[in-house]
Amino acid sequence: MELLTSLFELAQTYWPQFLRGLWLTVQLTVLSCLLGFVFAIPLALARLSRHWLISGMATVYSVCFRGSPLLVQLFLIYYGLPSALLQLYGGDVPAMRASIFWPLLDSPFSLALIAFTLNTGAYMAEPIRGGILAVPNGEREAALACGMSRALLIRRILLPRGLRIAIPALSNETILTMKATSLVSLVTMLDLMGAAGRAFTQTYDSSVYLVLVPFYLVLIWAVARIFGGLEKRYNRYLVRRAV
Amino acid sequence: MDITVSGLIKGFGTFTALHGVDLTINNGELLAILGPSGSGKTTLLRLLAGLEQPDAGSIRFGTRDVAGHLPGDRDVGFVFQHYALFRHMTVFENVAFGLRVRPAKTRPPEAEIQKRVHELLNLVQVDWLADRYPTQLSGGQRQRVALARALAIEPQVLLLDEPFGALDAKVRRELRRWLRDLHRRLGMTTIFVTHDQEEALDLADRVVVMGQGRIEQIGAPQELYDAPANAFVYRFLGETNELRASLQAGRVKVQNTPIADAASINLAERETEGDGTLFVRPHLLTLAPDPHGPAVVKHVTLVGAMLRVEVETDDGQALSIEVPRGPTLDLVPTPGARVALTVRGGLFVAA
Repeated sequence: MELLTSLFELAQTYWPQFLRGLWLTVQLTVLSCLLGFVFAIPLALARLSRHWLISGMATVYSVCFRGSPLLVQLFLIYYGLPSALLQLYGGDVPAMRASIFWPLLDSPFSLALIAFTLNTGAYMAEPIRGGILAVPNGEREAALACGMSRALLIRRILLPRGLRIAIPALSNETILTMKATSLVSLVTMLDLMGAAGRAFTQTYDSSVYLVLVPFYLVLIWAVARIFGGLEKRYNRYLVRRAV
Repeated sequence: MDITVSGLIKGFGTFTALHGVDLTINNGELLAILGPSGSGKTTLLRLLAGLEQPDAGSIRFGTRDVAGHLPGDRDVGFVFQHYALFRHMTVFENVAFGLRVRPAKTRPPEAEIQKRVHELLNLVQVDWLADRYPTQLSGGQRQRVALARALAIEPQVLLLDEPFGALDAKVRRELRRWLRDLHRRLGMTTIFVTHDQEEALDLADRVVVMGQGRIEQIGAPQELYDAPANAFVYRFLGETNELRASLQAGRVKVQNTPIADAASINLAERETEGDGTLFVRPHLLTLAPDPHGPAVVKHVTLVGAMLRVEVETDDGQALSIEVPRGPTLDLVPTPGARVALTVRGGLFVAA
């Protein structure tokens, strides 16, 4: 009972911080998943390419991003990209600040978004690739027999069917990405986790982290509902009914 | 459209599926390609469709050599064994698909597509299912939709791979009759693959019998059934008895079994004098009670409108004879009775 009272008081005191953190978490999740998804489609197609160089490069990318910790990627991009750009400009800080890339590198949010997009893209490409491979061969051949080109086959049959098959796995990836956004608190960003961390430094009450649980549960429930709706809408063709 | 296939060879790794196939298909005919599993019949059909490319040989549609052309450039409609309907599209969208994916120049306006699709769905008698998805259809309905989709692109040639293979016997018979009527109405060159002899003989104008990547015989159903070219065709086109026999002075002789009419026995090509096998269909053997006969009745089984009598000859050959049911029923010997046999037709193949 005492714990509940304590949690309620913490929530009351720090709720503006938590709401701002929640908004940042939602922004980062939505944007990185949307951009990651857009990036995952060509990546999945590249992995399936008959051209060894294209599929090889895509595989190397996928293995590197899925085979290393997200935190390492986040640090490399957050600290590494600006210093790489500085080196590119030969240590000339004013010239670097004048470059078209500076607005991207000046903001922690942009850098975190780049890291999460690249990581999410690598992870989302796999269920998309699996979905495309799961399209029965007969349907591919039927499309060719109807007079389709390979590009049209990808656009009209393989992607629509493959993406539908991948919906449950993409839902999982979105939830995992959302939970992984808590890492941005380590690069000065006040997402939900960052807000809780700041509250902890002011109160030294570790139960502040328990306040996060309902926030994350609600977010996960919302993601599950959204993807459930997508699945219901786009996979209704799988529902049998009496003839 | 006439189709001419010359010297077609196709291999998969070390396995050769087709060994130099030559075939001419006449404009507007309904041709069956018949053969057991692994005979190369589906490979031949896929080569005609452009879903596979030959290692050697040519395929001409009219005067045009289409070997190397993609399926879309061949003007063929293909119906797959398991229908291969697009599961994420409704029946209507499936049938409209071939028209909607045409290049903008040749694509009909949407109103015309709607009209054409409804006409086709009416033709195949599934217009009331237009808004359903393939998973919501029965096997027979899926088959009709697959056929409508193949016809939508107005092909010159219609290719069907085991079109009724996945259906139960009753639906298969109904669809067979329906396909025959449809072919009469459309007059399109139609080629279908099957391993069901009854289906091929019932439906086709001509039948191509294939075995191990080669064409064994081509002919009208009656011709094939009455005069098979070799033992493979004889065996494949129906149940057969194999009697030890010999060819002497141009006449076939079977020990202890008279042949009613020597002219009723066909000789396989280039047969030489000597021992061999006489292939006889169960209905071309007759039996009569005879206490001194050379065979003993083992079983009598009722098979629909026929009685099947299993006998064993004194020299150990097991034979099957079909007797029509009817007033002669009481004349059929019971198991254990001795009988005399008479051959009324068959095919002799030298050893």
